Amino acid sequence: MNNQRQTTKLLIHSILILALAVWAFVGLKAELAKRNDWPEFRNEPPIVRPLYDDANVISDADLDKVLWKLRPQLRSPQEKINHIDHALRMWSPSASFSDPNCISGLEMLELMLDNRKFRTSYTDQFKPLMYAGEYGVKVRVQEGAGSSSHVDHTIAGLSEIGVPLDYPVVTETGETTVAAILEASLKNFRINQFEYEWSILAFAHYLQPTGGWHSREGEWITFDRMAERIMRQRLVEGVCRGNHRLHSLTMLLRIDENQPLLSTEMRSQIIAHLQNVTERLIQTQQEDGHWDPEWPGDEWDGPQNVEGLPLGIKADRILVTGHTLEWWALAPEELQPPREVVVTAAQWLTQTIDELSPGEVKSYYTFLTHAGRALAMWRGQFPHEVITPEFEL
Amino acid sequence: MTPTPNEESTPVLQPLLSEKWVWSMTDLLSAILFGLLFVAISYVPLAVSPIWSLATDVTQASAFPLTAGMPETQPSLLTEAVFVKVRSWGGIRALSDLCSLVLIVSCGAIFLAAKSDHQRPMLAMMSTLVFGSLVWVMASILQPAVIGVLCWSLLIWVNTWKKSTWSQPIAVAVIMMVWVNSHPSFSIGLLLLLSQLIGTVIAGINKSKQDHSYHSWWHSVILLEAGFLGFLINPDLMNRFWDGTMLSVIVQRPLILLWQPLVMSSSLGIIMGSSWLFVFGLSRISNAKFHPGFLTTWLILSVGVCVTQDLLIWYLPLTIVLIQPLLADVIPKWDSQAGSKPLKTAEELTASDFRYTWISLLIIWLAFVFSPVSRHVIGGKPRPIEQVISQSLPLGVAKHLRKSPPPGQIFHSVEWGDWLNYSMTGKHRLFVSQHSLPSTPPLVMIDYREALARGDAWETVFDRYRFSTAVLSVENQADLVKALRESENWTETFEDEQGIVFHLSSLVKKSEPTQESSDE
Repeated sequence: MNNQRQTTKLLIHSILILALAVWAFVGLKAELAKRNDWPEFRNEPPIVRPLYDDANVISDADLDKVLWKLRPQLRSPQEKINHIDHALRMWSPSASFSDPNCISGLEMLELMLDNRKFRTSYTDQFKPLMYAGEYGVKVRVQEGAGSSSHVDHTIAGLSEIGVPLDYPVVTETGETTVAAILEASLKNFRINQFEYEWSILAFAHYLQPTGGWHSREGEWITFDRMAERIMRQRLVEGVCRGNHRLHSLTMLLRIDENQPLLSTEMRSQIIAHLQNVTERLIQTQQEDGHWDPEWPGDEWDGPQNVEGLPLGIKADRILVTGHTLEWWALAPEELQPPREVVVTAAQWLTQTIDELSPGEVKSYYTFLTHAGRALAMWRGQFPHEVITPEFEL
Repeated sequence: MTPTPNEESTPVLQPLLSEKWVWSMTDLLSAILFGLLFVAISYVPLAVSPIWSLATDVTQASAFPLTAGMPETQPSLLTEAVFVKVRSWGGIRALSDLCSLVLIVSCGAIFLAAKSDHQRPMLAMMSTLVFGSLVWVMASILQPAVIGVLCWSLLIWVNTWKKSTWSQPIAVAVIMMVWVNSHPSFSIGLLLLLSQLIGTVIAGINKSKQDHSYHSWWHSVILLEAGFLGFLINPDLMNRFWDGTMLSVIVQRPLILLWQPLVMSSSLGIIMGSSWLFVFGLSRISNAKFHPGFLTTWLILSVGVCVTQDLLIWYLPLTIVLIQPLLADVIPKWDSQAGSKPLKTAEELTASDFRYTWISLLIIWLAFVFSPVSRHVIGGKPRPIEQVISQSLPLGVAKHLRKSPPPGQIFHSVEWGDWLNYSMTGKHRLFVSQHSLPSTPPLVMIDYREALARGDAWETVFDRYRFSTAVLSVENQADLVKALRESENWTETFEDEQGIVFHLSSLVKKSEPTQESSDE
């Protein structure tokens, strides 16, 4: 009798504990599922094309001259990956050149994405550019010549030039695809991280329409929140005097036209923000057409706190002017300044690039790629569409 | 036996109170000590703590924009509802009185738990007094943790109930349900219930089946089940444990250095060291045994206090109750109730037998009258607000910011966030507070720590969050204060003993506010 009571007691408690455990497990599983709501990828990113073709901005002859000067003469061993990364974005994989010193777009792409090709240029003293991380393939950042210069710059560049996610990537541990780079970027992304503008650019290109997802910190991420984050800081802050953030906002607007990314309110906020930026740029443009590093002028919390580039003021001016013309070339009509502002800036830029020595071109190459791309886009084309295989001046 | 007609017509006067209301001299002494504790605790000032955010109806996302997008858990749902109500009814003073009362009730529960083992009120009250004094001396503040302490004290008390009836698991379930919806410290309660089971099982191995001095392990299982069931009655289910404990306590608090390891040379270290030695010494000279469940929890908490001294608030009451059986065994039984009570039946009791009872109740009434709490019942002049609020609060800073509201995001000490939120009624963009901590991304916490570290990391962090105002503690953030003083971009606009306010120099030039001090 006593034994029967004990057995019944044991049974009741076991059932109760089991029920509580199942309840707890189901709740936890639901919560974990909520936190694993990563958005789906799309293999082919959209190509955001330039909107204008204005020969007053730059003539065909001048454009040829500029592009010839900025051809990717990057065949030397242990060339900075930063330069390759930028050149690939400017020229895209389909570019090829008759100049034997130049490296083709496809070679650049393979150098970046195939560790075997990377090793032909970079000795073992360089760590591999691509390596297997916790959530996918990580791109090494700011660790010398063999690494990229900014967080997610590479994946953003690949997205802008239309590299599909199933394109192969070879690391030391095996073969995978570009999707693994995007996955690592997505899962490591945090809204308050130091550099975020390229991550947002890559997500806008490669993600399927999504209402949002939870970051690993548990934060709800949407394109609205990412846009807010971009607009939070002072205008001049961020790489290249804040211009990449403006470029990312412009791209959000453009991609949103065909694939909903933003809410109506946020779209209006971004437009108002960029219109304000354009107004400032009109006000602060120098007589000869360029902009200085303090291009935004005073904001509500005072003047910009700008430290000059080590390369000098000319480099700084090319950087700001080139980047500005680049995002304007992609920006809708409502964000455009009077065309003479663009024309004056482009003329200054063309002339300044023309006057650069080969040494200066080499030193300034990263931001010159933005300038060259901008000038080509003001003729309605990407640089690789301007040149022919026998491209030479 | 049949009563005579005369006996039927003359009714016998029965005392209204039973013999258990006949208190002894030791009860009277206990009442005096309780009265002193009552008055002392009711004058403890309210401190910098989440009380302030809980007492506002400002939504978290609007006051602390960096929490936007994070899951908004409400581990203090009940506390929040009560605090907002009390504040709207009686303001800061009523909040202070509520917290005092909660702490006094906690002391009462500790007293009952301590007394349950040996029925020696004086010994129990003196132990409770030690607990109350230590809390008073160490913290000198009231904070929402008092709600947690209340639940903790009640749980300990309920665990000392000797009779294994259904009332015990029901009480455990109710306490855990209230706790999980009132304060994020509920995990300590689950720990106690689990330890209770582990301790009972271990103790069961070493004792005979006839020994029923402790609960059976079956009963401990029932209590654990009841506690877990109570815990699950919250809007977030198991997620409450994840966000309330794992994320907030294990991840967030260490990031902002709220986890302070015990330093043995500090006053807290000395208290802890002394308590370990005392417990060890007591266990050597006493023949009595520790309550196995309490001992297991106590050992875990002892290790926990070494990692973070925050756990001291949970360690202290448990220690008081843990040592009771051994204390009672060692200390002579001069205060035993059994020896001092008149051995009379209810029919034999006279009014004079209740003299100690009446005097004790009078003393407790006097304690109530002399405490600020009584103002709500018998009226009286309210205390000056400066005496109600802890002087560690940035009163002057908040007043200055209300007078000259700064635009943009404010950087401030996490410990001050809730007070600023309360006193500035959510009209400003604040950074992080103890209350908003569970909803703040960990990276923000890392940045906060970076900003306070030596070097120039603060500049990058300040740019990233676009801070235009910095509210710093003169005492605890001296490095950053020095850095901002040396920076041309920042101008000091206010300073008093607690805090210092900096604005971006460009903003100061625009508005040209006059430098002021708290003396003005």
